[in-house]
Amino acid sequence: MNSGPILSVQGLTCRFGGLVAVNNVDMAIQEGEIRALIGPNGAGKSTTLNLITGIYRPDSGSVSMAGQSLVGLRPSKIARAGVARTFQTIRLWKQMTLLENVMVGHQCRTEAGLFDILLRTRTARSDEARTRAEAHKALQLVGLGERAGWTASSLSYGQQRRLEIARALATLPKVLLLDEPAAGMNPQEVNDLVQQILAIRNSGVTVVLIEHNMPLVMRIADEITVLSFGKKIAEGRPFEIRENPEVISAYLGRPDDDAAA
Amino acid sequence: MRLRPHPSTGSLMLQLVFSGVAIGCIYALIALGFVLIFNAVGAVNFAQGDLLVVGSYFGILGVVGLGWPLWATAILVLAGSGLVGFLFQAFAYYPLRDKPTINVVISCLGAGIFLRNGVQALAGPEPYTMAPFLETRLVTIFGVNIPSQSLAVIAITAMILAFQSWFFAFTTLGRMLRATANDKYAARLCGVPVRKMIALTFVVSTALAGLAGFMLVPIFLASPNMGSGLIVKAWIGVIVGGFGSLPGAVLGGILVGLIETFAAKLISSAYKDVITMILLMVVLCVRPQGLFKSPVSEKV
Amino acid sequence: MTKRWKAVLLIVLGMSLLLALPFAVKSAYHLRLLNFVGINIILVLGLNFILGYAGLLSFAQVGFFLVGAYTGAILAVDFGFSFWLALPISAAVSGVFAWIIGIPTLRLRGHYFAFATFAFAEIVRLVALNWQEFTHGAVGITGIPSPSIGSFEISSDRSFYYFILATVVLGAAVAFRLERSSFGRALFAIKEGELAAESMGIETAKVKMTAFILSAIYAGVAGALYGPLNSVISPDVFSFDVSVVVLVSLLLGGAGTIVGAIVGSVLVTLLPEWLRVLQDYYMVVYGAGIVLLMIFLPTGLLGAARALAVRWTTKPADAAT
Repeated sequence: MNSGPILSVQGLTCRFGGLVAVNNVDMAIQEGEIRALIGPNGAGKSTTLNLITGIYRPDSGSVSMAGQSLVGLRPSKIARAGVARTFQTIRLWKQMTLLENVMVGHQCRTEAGLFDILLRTRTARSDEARTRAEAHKALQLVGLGERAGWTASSLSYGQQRRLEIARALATLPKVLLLDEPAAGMNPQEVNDLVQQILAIRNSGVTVVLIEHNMPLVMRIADEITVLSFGKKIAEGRPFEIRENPEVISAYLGRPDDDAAA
Repeated sequence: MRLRPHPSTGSLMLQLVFSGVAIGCIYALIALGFVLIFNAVGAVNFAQGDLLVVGSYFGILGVVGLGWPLWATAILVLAGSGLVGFLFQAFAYYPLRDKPTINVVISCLGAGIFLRNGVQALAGPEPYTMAPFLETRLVTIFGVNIPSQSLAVIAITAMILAFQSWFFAFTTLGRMLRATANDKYAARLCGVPVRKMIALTFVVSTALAGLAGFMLVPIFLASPNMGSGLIVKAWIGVIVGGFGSLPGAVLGGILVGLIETFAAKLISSAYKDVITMILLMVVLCVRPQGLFKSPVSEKV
Repeated sequence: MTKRWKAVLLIVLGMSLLLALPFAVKSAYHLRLLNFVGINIILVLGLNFILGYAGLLSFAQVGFFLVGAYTGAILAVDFGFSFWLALPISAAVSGVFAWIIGIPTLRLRGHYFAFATFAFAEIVRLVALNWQEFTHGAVGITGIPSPSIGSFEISSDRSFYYFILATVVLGAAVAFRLERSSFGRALFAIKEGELAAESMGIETAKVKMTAFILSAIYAGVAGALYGPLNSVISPDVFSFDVSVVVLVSLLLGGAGTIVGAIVGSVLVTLLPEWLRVLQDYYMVVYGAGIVLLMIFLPTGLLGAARALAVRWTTKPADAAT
């Protein structure tokens, strides 16, 4: 499969007033890869994700998915094109059950219109059955299959993060973007998460994840892209990144910087 | 409709400007109180027009009912409206502060119905009016006769606005109110008594509405149901000026008064309200952030 | 299976009660009142789509009600259309109005949308009041003919009752089916978090527009029924007060639930009757009641009932089925 990257970002730039949040970033993500996007707080990682998924519009640059440009499309169209995501600040529909949350995720792959629903046509019934099956499958995959009937608000923080992944999976993505999936998880949950992400990749989904948990990143990432102050400062295999002096100084601060968090 | 060539077209214009600005000042005062509350607690107070009616009727009570002089009645209006504002927030807003917006909106609507019909039950449904504040009915400026009440309204509004900008910029209380509006949590950490500041915001904005209601009586026929028509104009001013902006609310209110007055004279008095409504729709659709404000994008 | 049979039994029982109701109600006045309850239910069921499910505060419902009523009345009186033709046209015209208004306003957030819908309702009312040639101005339209099926004319309040009951049942059934469908879930997701819904591939603009048009169609039908029922319509009927009545009906019953919409409508329409003793103070009490309702029953009667049910069922004593 050497047919070019599945997701390609070129010269991506986004300004907020005077601040350049993302500055001329290039990325080429190959199909089936697990790509980690790391960098200090405020490096522009989440903004990059928001630019790819159409929540923000880039000031310049391009985003394309298997050759099709995504710039200027509404987020729903981008999701339909096969890019799904989770949110750093959890955005589940808290009053809905787990199953309903995930079923809404699959809805963009169904065809039934209002009249199908009203008249309960064959299309509507088969859509509903398929949506239900896909939702159960996605819940099973993230280990929440037993709790399908619970309301989302009853879940722990770590479980909510996994529900977000299940919901995104139900859209049948080609590329899955995870924004800090391990945040707030205990070590046991992180272990499960690693297995789940690997399983997702093995099912043929390309994974891009933003993560601060470095052991996790080093364990599963095929490639790592490092951002700092909106710019890409390094890219490569985990062992390359670990030894890259620029990356180390971006995280720890240069000797002549007086304050580094 | 055809405009006849008339020697005093210029003076007609001047008359329209004065009465437009005067009615616009009333809208501006309502709008100001409305925005103060919105900024302080994020609640859209649908009862602001009915709070104005309460002020009108305190004025009628003072001047017509008790035969008090204007200054004494003004104090009655301010104190009475302020008290009603305090009770309003204590019963209709504060218990709902953590509930969804829709509940707050409906509660304000209910409180408005309560106030309006309470006034009607006490004072009767028939409209009232009173003599202008100044003794002469008309004042001549540049050879044009201007209703004296218009001038009084403009002058009083200007004084209130000057006072309120000084108050918010230079007094400790004003700064505490602004801090509360800005960030309740941080204000509380800095020792600002937030609960009291919220109550005070309602008192101040109700007093503003009440004063507007008082000044209105000699121009309008005051009746218990006039509030909803006025609050609508004030909203239009608020949105045209940019939601949340105090100067915007004032400018927007005056603009609505002018447009309405000119539209009534030059186009059609029957459709003047339609024209201001269309202005609202156009601004909402084309420039929802208002005419005098730059757009802000939401952070995700 | 037993649960389904229970539901069927309940529906059959309820329907037979509703069918028998006109024979228990003696005065024509009360029968008329019941018919107004029905009209209000249709309005509130419509509002439930946009406010109850999608969570958007709309004051446009009374505007669509007016559009439906005037379309039906003008077609019947001035152009001699049969009611059966005027009814769908009224519903469609209201729907088209919603579509036109929705394009610019559904993008707006929270209170901006509320103001825009309010402006729409006011504009149509003022136009109805002032456009003499077309709407007959403040006097309104009189002599709106009753519908007839063959030679049978639906003119008595009793025959109208059955007609409106049938419409309400149909409207509730449609709402019920939509609520429990992918469409209903999408609306609820938008209410709970629009950005997430959009990001999961839900075309939120389209879904919200559909809900808005549905709410207008319901209001259009309610308007088309109201004209012949009352035989007269005039602009003053379609004031902001109607918006308050439908909003309070929905919130009293419980927003986002069909049963709540119905229960709320019944109570709010009949309440003035029961509180007749208050006379001039009725509206004062009504206003205070709304405030108390929002404070003490924020999720409506149905929400409160559910909360109670949950508390009971979680008692250890009730663990067995």
